[in-house]
Amino acid sequence: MSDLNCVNMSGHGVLERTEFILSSPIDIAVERILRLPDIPAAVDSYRAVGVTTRIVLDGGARTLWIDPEGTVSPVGETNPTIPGGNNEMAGTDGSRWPVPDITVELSGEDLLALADGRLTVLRAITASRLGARGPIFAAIGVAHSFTRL
Amino acid sequence: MTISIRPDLDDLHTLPKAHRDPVRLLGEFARDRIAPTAEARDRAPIGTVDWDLVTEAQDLGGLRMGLPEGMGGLGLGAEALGRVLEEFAAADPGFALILGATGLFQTPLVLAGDERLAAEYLMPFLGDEPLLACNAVAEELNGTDLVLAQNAPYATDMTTATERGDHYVLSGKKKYITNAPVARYATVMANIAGHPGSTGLTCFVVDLAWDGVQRGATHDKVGYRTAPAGELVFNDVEVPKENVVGDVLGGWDLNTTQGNICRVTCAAIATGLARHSLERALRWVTERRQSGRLLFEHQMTARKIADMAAAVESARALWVNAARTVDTTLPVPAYEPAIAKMVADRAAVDNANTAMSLIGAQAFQRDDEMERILRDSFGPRIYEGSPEALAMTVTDLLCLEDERR
Amino acid sequence: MTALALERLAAAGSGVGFARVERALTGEPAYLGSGLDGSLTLTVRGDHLPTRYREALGAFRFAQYLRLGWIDPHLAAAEGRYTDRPAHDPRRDLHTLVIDRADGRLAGYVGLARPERFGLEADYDLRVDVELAPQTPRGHLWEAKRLVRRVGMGHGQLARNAPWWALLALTRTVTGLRERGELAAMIGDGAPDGSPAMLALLDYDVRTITARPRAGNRTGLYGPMWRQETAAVPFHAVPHPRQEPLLEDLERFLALGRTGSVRELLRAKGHPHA
Repeated sequence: MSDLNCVNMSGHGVLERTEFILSSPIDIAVERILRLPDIPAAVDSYRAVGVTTRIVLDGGARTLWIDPEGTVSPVGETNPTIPGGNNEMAGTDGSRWPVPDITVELSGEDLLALADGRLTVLRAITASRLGARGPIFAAIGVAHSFTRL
Repeated sequence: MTISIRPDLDDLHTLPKAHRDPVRLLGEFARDRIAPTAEARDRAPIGTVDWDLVTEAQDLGGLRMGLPEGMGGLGLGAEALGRVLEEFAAADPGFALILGATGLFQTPLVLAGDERLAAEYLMPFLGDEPLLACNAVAEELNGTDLVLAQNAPYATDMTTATERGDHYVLSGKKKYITNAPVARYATVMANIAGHPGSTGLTCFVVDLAWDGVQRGATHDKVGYRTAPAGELVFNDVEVPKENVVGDVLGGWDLNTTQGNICRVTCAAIATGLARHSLERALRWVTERRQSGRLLFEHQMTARKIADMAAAVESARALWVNAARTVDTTLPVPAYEPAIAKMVADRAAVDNANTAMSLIGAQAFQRDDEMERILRDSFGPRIYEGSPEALAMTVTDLLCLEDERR
Repeated sequence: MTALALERLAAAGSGVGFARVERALTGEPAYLGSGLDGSLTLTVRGDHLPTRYREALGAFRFAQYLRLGWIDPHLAAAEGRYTDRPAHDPRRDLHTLVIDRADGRLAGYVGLARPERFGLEADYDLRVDVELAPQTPRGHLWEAKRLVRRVGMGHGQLARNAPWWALLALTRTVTGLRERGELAAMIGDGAPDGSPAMLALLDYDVRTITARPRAGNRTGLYGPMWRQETAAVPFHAVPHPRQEPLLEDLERFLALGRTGSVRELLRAKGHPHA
């Protein structure tokens, strides 16, 4: 469902934040993550963790890939059951991706809430809103970097 | 060559490389320094802490095992921590608890990632002065009512936190708190005033040197006597709002998460106890003869030894499995840790019982180490979920859909 | 952040114990000295110090600056920064710790570093190899930073001696680096009657320059320090060839717990800068 809340009109009636017109929370969340490399506090925090991360939003509706340097790439739907004998996993779009160090799963709304300070990482963990596979303290470190987006 | 029931501390290949040396050193410390002196600590006056050995443990990282490596801690995960605490428990479970309870204070702050709280309350553990801490949850009237979230409305006379300007004022009393008589800091679970029972549970960091904090009675426990335990009394203690760990009213979720993590290491401690009984029994049955044969050559004895060994190995397999799951899964799993603790707690008691039956009159002497092991074996089932509480957790997970839990 | 919260933070950073640090070093210290004032002073390369001590040093430095009123606590809270940890590789640092053996706490500290980007260049509108040391290769310049005594020590002997132990150890270290061809000069900044003057008392040839601090300093985390009335000045210091007898006198004075002031000692010894 479209979310018009982020549209901001100037006095002249010109839309100032056109990228948010008719965007859903998950789209906005993806937008925020894509900005990671451009936000020093966030990317420094992410790099300190030193991992390759697969981010799964809204149960797989959107998936992104972040390398250890903080470069973010959107992925087509990934099928992790495809054999990774050469340490790769395949997207159904045919793209090949190395197996991530960690997979982090959360909703787009929760990612925005982390970034906006409405949700703490601790609450995300203890209220089971943050899922992860892989070393959990690395996943928690990645989640902390999202609070700086 | 016989099989050893003790893990090989030189073979820790399942642990991250950076954790192997610290785990080995702490394990050797437990075997070589803690075990030989356990009896003396057990007989010491209540509340006595062996600060020399605590300092040695500190130097090896024993009081910062769970702190992140980047901060100067050992950064141990659940499996590595379990390896260490199984060794300490096989030597002296009270000492394991001293270290573990300090870790329980640190865990919420590590999870919260609050830099200011870390700078104020975790930084001191990096120094050379041995500092102990505690996690103050249990109360006189509230035990399982602070373990099972569904019991929260029934908690009675909870320690209360009343909002007042930029502070909360804490009033109440905690009981059965490991390290309470000597701890410097505590994470205190208190109920926000106005919320029934413990439904408003919130976690506060309290400096136990603050005005209004009083050390109550030190408990004269049946076992785990190396670890001092006692009461903490909060007489209108002013706690700054910034000392809330996580969210106000977030205490139950935190308590449950921490409990699930902690059950793994509790299972490791119980496994250590079960192993200690077996070690004592093995020494007996391989030395004593009856009817011209060594005891272990008698079939009934052989059966008992085998059952004890199976109990230790299965308890260990379960806590290791739970640890690996906890180390690599969010949300923090509840099922594997509960199962592991249920089995290990039972193994501790059963193995002590079986060892007593094998060793007989000798084990019934005050000066035989089985006397202490027997008392200690009943410890694990008391904290972080009794067998009954664990059973309810396991059954709910097996039978109830998520929304009904 | 309330004043009480600030003080708790500062107390935590000032209270960390270093009583057994010597046993934990993974390399030889560049300097080791002790005195009847109850002190142990050592200089050690950053990577020879276990991480926990390095983190504790960052906390100590931050705590002293907080207590001196040189850090903006609101900015610190907003940025979640509660440590003064060097940003560069620990191998580039030499830390001098003056430890109170009575309780293991730090009484004093000074750092010496050979970073890729000097703090002077971050703080001032200058290039050190142009304005401050034009004849010197950058790799032979070392920067002294954070000469601090633990705030609130009172007026005892160790309180008096701590900065001098730190400077003595620093100087021994600097001399050693020079002898090995690794150092041509030491640079840094300080109030004119602060570290430049103290170094001059120790028979360094000290030259100061005027340089404009960067505009952002006054509104940054260390803003209160930059807004002080007395402005710091960058300096360039080289140990004088005849420094050794003076250092021996100083070391004996400190080690034997003599009463009196160090400056008076140096004056009494007739050294030109006293």
